[in-house]
Formats: sequence, structure tokens, C-alpha cells
Amino acid sequence: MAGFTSYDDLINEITTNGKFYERLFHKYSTQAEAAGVGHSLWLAPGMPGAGAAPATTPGTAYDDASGSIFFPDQASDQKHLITFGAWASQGCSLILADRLVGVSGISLASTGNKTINSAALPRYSGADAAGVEAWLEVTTATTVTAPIVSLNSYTNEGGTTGRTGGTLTFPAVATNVDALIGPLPLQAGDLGIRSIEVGLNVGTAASAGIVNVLLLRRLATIPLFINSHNERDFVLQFASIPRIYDGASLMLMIIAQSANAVNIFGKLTVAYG
Amino acid sequence: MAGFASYADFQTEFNTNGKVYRWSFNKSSSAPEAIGVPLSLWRNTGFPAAGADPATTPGAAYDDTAGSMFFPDQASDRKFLATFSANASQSWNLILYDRLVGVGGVSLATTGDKTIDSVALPRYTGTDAEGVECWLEVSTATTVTAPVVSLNSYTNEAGGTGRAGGQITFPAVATNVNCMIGPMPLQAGDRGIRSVETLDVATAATAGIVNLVLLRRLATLVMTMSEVVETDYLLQHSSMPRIYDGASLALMGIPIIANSSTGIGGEVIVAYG
Repeated sequence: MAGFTSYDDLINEITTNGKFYERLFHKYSTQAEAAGVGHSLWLAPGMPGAGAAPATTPGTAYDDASGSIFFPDQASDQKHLITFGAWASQGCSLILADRLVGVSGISLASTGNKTINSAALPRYSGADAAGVEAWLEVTTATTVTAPIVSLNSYTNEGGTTGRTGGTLTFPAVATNVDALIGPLPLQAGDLGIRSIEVGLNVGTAASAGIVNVLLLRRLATIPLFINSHNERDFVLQFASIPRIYDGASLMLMIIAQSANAVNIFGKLTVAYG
Repeated sequence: MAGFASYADFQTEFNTNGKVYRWSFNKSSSAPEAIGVPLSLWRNTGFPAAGADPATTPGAAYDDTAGSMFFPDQASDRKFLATFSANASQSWNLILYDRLVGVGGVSLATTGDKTIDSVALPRYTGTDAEGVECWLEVSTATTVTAPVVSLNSYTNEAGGTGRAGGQITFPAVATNVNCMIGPMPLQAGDRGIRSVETLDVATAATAGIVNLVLLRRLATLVMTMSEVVETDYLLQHSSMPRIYDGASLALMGIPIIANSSTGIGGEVIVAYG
């Protein structure tokens, strides 16, 4: 049976059976927008190397995607996150997320409902979409006016269509490239997103600005003090043992503590059994 | 069968069968470049004694090499990092890594592609090269201009040749000896390095020589000034990093609060079964 029956079983799987993946990473970010604003490391150089922009609507469903941290599929075993640690040149919170779907080329330069019609989730399908969030990844900086956006029509985790969430205002008139805006608010009672239709409403437009609409699921977060390494164990320290599904395309993102670029390097480990 | 079948098995091997190695180390660092800039301890006096600069191209593969911390080969057992502890007179991050290949005498005093043609990895071969990083260890300080460098041609973890990564700018015009510059960014999609063929110097200094080092990070500690810090990799961080036969373990540090040299003492405990 898949999974770990005991801590002894975990030790045995890792050390005797070698059912263990270790992924080292390093990223050199672009300039963050401001303290408290999310920032994507998807396009940042490093290891893994920069990811590619998703396709336009209906977008890209990510499955062991180049530019992500991914692992071989395990047909009869389950993969779980064991440790996640990193060092950063600036204080931030480092988030590990499974990048599920991306839809590129969404313009914020005019008001109205933008067609997303996102591809089906490759993981966390059906009711498991509870916890799937929508974020906006800036690819062309906004100008003149801070956009105000909302989810105008999406399908929630229960399969109900036409759901509408609250508005979110961009953090600045000129929001930097790679800024991550979100998570976008959901309609009262909703727990997640299966898909976004038509789609993203731009209530207040900028003069310029383009985003990727991302559907992702956050897996782990670690606080990083400037120049100090931090590492968490998800078996005995924070006993959550997050599941890493086959096809998972793990990306890194930060919640910045300053408007500075950040250098990050670290390691995560995954065991399977 | 190699490995530990359970925690009880680990205890038996460790306590009853005495399958444990302990290496107590101490190093006196040279002057760091700046807070947040890594500094190699390879060439510093202490225990182990100072390691030698590697040969010029194609360099040298490290296998239980003098200057490193190393352990006897175990034909039928596997070695794992059990604990890593240290204290320092300054607040530093301390990184334990397996030094795989070094190529010495790479000049940064002229622009252009520098021939590296590094020897084959002695460990983490083939696709296990995922996670192998390239760093530049300053052996002669730079002067006048901060160099800008990149991997112009390397072989990635999958065996793809002619790969090229992004640029790194040295942290200072006069970058101190023993600074570790890196990790060097990889091409989009890549996750490791099997070998480096050429290093490009886009902007040269007036002087400056580096060792190009291929390494794999194993563990990191955060040391608060004058306080011992220890991590258990079995029960605290359930990652149990594997120590392969021939592993040549070395240290690098990153100053956290003050740009001051430091004395470091600690211990590496390795269990095998």
C-alpha cells in the first residue's frame, strides 16, 4: 500500500530502498515590487533555469514542466515533501507551490471581462480543487493607474459555475514585472478554483500591463531572515507531510520584505513509498 | 541490505555495531568580502588542513582528497550524514558540501571564453548530476573592475552539450581571496551540470584568478555568534543526506550580521549501515 506506515518505514524507504529525491535550487530574482507583495521566481535565472511563458487562452497545464522542480512519476508509490530549506540575500517568505495552469497575455490596459477559459487542472481535480488559488503574474509592467481586478466568472471546487469574487487593487501604479498579485478573492463560501472562464474582470485599467493568470496550490512556506538559512522538516517538526503528485511542477515565489532583488539558494527533499 | 530498516536498526548499527564516523573540524576564515557573500574555507588553515588549489584544465576530481573531510569507503554499506554541528565567533551560515571537481588558474583579467574542459564527475554521474552546481573560488583577488561572467558552454544533467547560462557580476571591484561566487545560473530548463567546457568573461578585471568548482551542497547551519548549533538529519530534519564513497566534504560560510572573519569549530557525524 502506498504511503508510509511508520517513521521506521520512512527511514527504510529512504536509506535502504533509496526512495528519495533531493533537489537543490538557486534563483536570482528581479527587483521586487515592495514589502508584502508577492514575487515570482518562475522566469528568474538559476537552477532550475528560467521557465517559459504559458500559452494564451486556454493556456498551459503544467506537468513536469521545464523550469519547474519536478520528479519522476511513481505509479504505485506516493511522494511527500520531507524538508524545505533556503538562504536568501534579503528577508522574505519563500513559498513552494505546484504550478497547475497558466494563461498568458491577459491585458490590463482596458476595462471589461477578459477571456481566460483556463485548461482543466492536471492535478487537484474535482473537489480536490479546494485550495487551488488564482494569482496574476506580471509580464509587462503596469503604468499610469493601479489596476483593480476580480474573478468575474470561475468554477469553484464543487463544480459550480459563474462564481464571482471580490476586487483586488494592484500595489502600485507601476507594478514590476514578475510581481505576483493575489490570491484573488473568491465568492463567499468557496474553497477553491477548478477553472476560470470569462473570466478576469478589469474594473479599473492601467495604460499598460499584461499578466499571466495562474492557478496554483501552495505547499510550504518558510520565513527567511536576511542572509540567514532556514529549513523545515515536514515529518516530525511540522507534521504535515505535503503530498507531491505525479506531474507536479514546483515553482518558487516570495513575499518580499523590501523592494530589492533577492538571491536565493536552498534544497528540498522528497521521499516516496 | 544497505541502509537502515528502521530507527531501531539505525540505533543498533550506530551504538552496538559502532558504525559511526566522527570528524571534528576547525577553521580560521580569511577576511570575507561582505555580508551575504559566501566565503570558502577550503584554503584556510585548521583541521582539516588547508586544501590545495586544483590543477589547471582539465582540473582534478576530488576523491577522499587531502584538505577535505572524508571517510573510509564502505563496499556493502551506505553512509549518511547523521548530525552537523558548529559554533563560530561571528554569526554565519555554514554550508557543508561535497567538492567534486576543481579547475584552477582561470584568469578573469581578459575577456572571452576561458577553456575549462572539466574532468568527469567522480560522483553524481549521469542524470544524478541534477543538483551539481558551479561556483568560482577566488584565488587571486580581482582589481579595478568587477568581473561579469557566465557559463558559456557546459553539459547539463541530461547530457545536453553547449548549454549557456546567465551572467553573474562579482560583488566588488576588489573581490577578496576565497570568495565563492555563485551558484552560476543555468540555461532555462536545466537542473544540474555534468561538466563545464568554457567560462565566458564578459567584463574583465585588471587582475583576478579563480578556481572553477563543481560541488553539491549537503547541509546548512545558521550559527548565532558564539553559540553551538546542531542539526540531526534523522529525527530533526528527516533528510539523511547520503555521503558517497570518495566524498570530499568541505565548508563555506556566509556572514550574516558583521563583515568579519571568524573561527569555526564543529563536528560532522556520519553513520553507516
